[in-house]
Amino acid sequence: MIKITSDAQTVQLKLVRWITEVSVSGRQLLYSAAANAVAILTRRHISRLASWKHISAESLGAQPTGHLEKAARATVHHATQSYGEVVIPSPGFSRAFHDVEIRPRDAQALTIPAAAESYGKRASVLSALGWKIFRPKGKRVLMGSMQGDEAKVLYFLCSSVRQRQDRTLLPSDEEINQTAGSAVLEYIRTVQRKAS
Amino acid sequence: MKPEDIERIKSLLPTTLGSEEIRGTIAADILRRSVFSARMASATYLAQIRDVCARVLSGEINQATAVKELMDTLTAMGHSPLDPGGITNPASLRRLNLIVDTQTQMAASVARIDNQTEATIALWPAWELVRLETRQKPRQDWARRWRDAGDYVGWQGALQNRFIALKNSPIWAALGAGAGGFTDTPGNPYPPFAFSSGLDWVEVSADECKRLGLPVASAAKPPRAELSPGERDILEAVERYGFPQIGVDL
Repeated sequence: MIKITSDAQTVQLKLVRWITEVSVSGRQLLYSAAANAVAILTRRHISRLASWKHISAESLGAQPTGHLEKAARATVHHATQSYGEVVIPSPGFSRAFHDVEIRPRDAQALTIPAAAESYGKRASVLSALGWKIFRPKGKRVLMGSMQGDEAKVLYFLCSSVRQRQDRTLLPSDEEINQTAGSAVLEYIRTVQRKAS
Repeated sequence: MKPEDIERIKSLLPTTLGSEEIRGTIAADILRRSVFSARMASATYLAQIRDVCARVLSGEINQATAVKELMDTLTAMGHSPLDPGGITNPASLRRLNLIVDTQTQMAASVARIDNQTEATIALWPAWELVRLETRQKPRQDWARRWRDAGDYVGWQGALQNRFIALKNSPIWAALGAGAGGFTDTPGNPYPPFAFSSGLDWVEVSADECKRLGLPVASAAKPPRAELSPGERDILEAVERYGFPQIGVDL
């Protein structure tokens, strides 16, 4: 594993060194080829994850929110004369690189959905939908009832949540390096063919 | 350009018109550059739609928080998700999710188009329209939509048997405009091609296009002077430093 990563980095370094010798317009084209290739790889990877990662929703009997599919759709690439980048606009993906600690921003506690009705919805949205929501004294939960039905636990309250790093959320470094490198070389060949 | 920047530069278009009237009276290119919502005359609320969608696109908040913030504003304005009207009720949960989905998907599509270069078009000359989001009740009429849009543009740069067409094919505009009489389209030449659609573009490589018979590039070799500045830069680097030698075949 270490050897493969090392090789991938060596390849990448040689290629990056070559690209930096290209004048600015050409460099931007090469970075765009690399970044777009990695964006395609990333979208495909996230879409594959989405087809089986509905554990939270399914455990509650809820309809999945589709946040992974939405992340795949919103993934875009961008290239300049200095770099190419792929942006996944979903903060959850930073977990691919390190543990993530989530803390409440504007509230006293995080609300973790505990029922199908609350999955993918904030507590104030449920209130607007007619739920009577209350916190039982001394309990770290929010309960609610609808139109006089028996109250049920809607959310667990937590001061913070720590999510462990999960590198499988994104393609491996080796896949990314190989994909970017292949695209750059393929585009150079394409330009050569066009001019020959 | 990043999707959140594309969202942030949109204009606000308060209106008392319904969806059909908006389509019929306001030019598509104005709608494309605007944030609007049927029968929503509050510029303050439209500005908030723009803001929360930009924050979703930048990864600052998720969709649940975006919907919560819109709902809070609408509640303060006297609306309720419990009001009658279904999707025409500004505060209905379905409508709020639809607004956030549509705005964010449109901005992401525009960013994908905006970030195309000669290189990305040469390596991936076509899009394929495929299902990327599951739906409880997916539309069953996509084959008809594709056929009607293809017939409308004479299948220029488009395949008949798969939802694949060159990036510059007019079929995308026809599909977005609802060729064949479809009125549930946002009117854009990019996804989503219908409200709440789970279909989106994936790129198709030049090799795949050739295999499928799509005309990807002119067979004529352009003289060197007709190469783009970027292409000339790359050729000069190859001549000066040789083809990149990286020690492995990629």
